[in-house]
Amino acid sequence: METNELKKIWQTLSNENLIDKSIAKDNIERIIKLNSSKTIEKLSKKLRFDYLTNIATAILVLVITIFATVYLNNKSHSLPIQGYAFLVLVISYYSLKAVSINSKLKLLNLSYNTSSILDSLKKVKVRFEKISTKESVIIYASMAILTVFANILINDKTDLSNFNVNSLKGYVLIFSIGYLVSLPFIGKYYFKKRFSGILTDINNSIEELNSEV
Amino acid sequence: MEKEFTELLYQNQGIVHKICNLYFNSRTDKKDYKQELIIQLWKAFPSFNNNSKLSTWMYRVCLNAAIDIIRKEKTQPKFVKYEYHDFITISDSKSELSENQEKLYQAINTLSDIDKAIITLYLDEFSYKEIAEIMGISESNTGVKINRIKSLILKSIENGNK
Repeated sequence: METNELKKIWQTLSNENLIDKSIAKDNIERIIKLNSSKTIEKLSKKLRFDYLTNIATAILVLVITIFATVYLNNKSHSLPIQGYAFLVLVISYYSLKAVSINSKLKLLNLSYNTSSILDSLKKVKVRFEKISTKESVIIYASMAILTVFANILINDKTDLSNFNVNSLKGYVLIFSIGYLVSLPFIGKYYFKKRFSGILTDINNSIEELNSEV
Repeated sequence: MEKEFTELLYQNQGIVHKICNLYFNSRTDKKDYKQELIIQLWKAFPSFNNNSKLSTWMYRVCLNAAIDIIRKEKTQPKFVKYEYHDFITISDSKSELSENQEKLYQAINTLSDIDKAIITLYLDEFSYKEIAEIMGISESNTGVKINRIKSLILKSIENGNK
């Protein structure tokens, strides 16, 4: 089969079968008044709702922690260490979930439709990496603040001259240091794993376009 | 601007239909994403320079949008709600496909998103220079790729899409 024959088959195929029923002018006018199509809009709404729910939950738990601390301090009591550890983990969980959903939302809004295909792919990749770094920093900063806050509360009445590494407070401190050191790596790993399919796809497409075959 | 866009799109809507039929599988997707492509074209319309060919600009926007939608769908597997009965070769087909048309369509469908874009532009009589501009690669690379994709398609057609 020759190239010309291929083109001829394509012309018949595309003119007779790939072009569907004509979209009326009225419909075009109606469509351009929309922000996005039904599927994309539905997805956006769901993601925004999930994001706000997770943020609200994280804030609520943080407020409860602060309130409980102040309230118990006024009564000359304090929340047990395990209580703080649990609350920090709960806040971490919801914050991480919110950050992850936020990445998806940003991804959904990423489009460079007037650039060439290769440029668009490169721009999306760069934006992705920026989002990843920015979010790792946000996660790290928030978790660092929470961990320091929990440690201050835990060690509030501790006489540091008697500080013993081989005690519950010592373990909490070691755990906190380990937690803070590993967090940026966990954040990066989590983001990459979450979006590894897409990043691989983008990289493959860029490679495919750049390769001379 | 709205009137001008509507008129231009109305006359050139074949490009939107073609991209949707080549990139999306189910009838629901095609209908919905046809809207998405039109919205993306409308959003990008202020960037359209009358000195360039409308079809080149439309292909660039539509191909970018289609590849973008596929990428977005991959992040949300829950939202890709394919229904088995929804899969058809070409939606709303006006006539039965000849054997060769069916084979060509199937052969193009097995290509990667990038190759699909290149060969569609080539078969639609775009010059190497125009294809290179839309894809963002060199003209010589475009030529090499077209030859490779053509042989793939011809081989696939000759082997009966096996």
